[in-house]
Amino acid sequence: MITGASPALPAFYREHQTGLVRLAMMLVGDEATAEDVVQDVFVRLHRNAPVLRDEQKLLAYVRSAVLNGCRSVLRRRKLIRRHAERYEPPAWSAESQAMLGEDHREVMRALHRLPRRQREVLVLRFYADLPDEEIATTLRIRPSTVRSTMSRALSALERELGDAS
Amino acid sequence: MNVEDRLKAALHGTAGLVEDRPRPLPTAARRRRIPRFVPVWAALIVALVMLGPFVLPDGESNAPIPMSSPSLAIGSAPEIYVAIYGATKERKSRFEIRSTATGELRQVNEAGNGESFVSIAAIPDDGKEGISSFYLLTRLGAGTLPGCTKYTVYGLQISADAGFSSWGGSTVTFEAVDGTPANLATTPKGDEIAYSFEGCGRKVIEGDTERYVGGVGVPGVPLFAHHWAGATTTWNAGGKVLNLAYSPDGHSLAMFRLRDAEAGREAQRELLLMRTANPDDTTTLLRWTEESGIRKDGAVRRPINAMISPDGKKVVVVFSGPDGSGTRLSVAERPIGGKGLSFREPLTPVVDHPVDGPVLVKQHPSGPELLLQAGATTLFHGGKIKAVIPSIEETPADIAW
Repeated sequence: MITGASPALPAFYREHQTGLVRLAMMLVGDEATAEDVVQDVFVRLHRNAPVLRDEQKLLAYVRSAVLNGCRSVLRRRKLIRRHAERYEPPAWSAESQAMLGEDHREVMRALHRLPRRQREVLVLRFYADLPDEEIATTLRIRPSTVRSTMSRALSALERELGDAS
Repeated sequence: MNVEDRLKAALHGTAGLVEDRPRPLPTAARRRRIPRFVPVWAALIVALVMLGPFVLPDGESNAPIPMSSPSLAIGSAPEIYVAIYGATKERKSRFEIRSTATGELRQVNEAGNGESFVSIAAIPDDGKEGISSFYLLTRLGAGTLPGCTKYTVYGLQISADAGFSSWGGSTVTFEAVDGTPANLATTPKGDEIAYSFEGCGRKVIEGDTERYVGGVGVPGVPLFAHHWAGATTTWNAGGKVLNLAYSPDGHSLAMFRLRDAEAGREAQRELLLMRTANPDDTTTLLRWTEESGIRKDGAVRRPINAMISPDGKKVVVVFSGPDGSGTRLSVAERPIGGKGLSFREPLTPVVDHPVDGPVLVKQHPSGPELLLQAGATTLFHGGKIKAVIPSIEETPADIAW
């Protein structure tokens, strides 16, 4: 069992932090914000950790929390945009200096035009390689919803890429 | 390259921009924060400086100082309860996790497309530390035969702080007449499950004999099922099932039913205690005719719900009234003795409360308390204590804690 006060938490963090930052990066677009999201989750885990019996459940819980953190960041950005403040452009935007190929940029831009849930399902499947059940646990939806969302998301992405090319 | 391969390559390319390097584990506040509240604070401070001398009281405040934060627990009741709601035109079916003490909403989860939640039962002794477990009777959609609808019972786990919930597997799946499955019950360990429904079998005539295939039973006949060790047994309920509850050891199942009228006998409300190993071995704990009830302040109050207490030692009866007006809720209790109760025996209500709709009764899994849902108001009943949890303005289909 791993809890916030558990000595196992630092080891858990070391093992999963890069993967979690990368997962957040897919959704928020820049590494610094992705790191902030993941670190916020671990700060909260220190203060008020859920009691979960095994590491896989904790990982699912943390993944869920990271996705929530990403949603908050994106909501906050909408507000910031309204007040004309600047934030780091996403790695796939034309302004970004990140070393990302043009095809990858195009796919990532199309991905970010999809509805939030479709985007998250695709990232969890095609980046994190999670099965339907784990995606369902992370997003707190039913496995059947994961399957239908995945199907709709792939069709929508195909349309987006077709329209873009 | 198809869209899936392109997506996978793009995601891994983007992930590759994040270097795999050690990052310190945070122990305090986060490193960077967008100063979104700075303008608000600045405005407040300026307003306070400008207007302070005019609006601030010059004496000591008379307002009471809270001595401590309110407790989140009532009696030995769990800190949270779960209320489920059917689908409406505006909203999908959902379950809500709320604080028992305050009714505060902790979490909402909506059902998937085409699914809806029907009934819920708590599993208090599932052996999972810091987790509250439940079974959730869920309508899945069209069944395999015309007139049949598929239902399943899912597991559900909720963390101690009610901040995290996860789905377990499906324990039992069955087909029934749409809208009839109800009254989900389980044992404290969750190893037995009972529910009521109406079968949707299709009649097949072969020679002189007729039988029903597909969904269990004759359409329109009330049934109840007992699921244990991977096997489900089904019996005729003999009338509409109004409530189901297990005894703590799981050896008995209490059923409150509206027994069908028969020739020479009017319909009756009955609380039966059946041995799960053999439901024909039954004790009638109480029985009322449809017209009888208890008399209080000169008016008759009729029994609308009944069950055995969580410890299996008492019968709990809920009365509406007076005279069926549905404006008050009375709860009476009686120890379970060797003989059953009849409507002629007097019962003194220990709770008397105004209500605004139908009443649901749920057992506290490990204490003497009851959770009552009277219309849109959730009530807590522990002995003579009565606490009203704030109205949530919508009547749930079922509740559990």
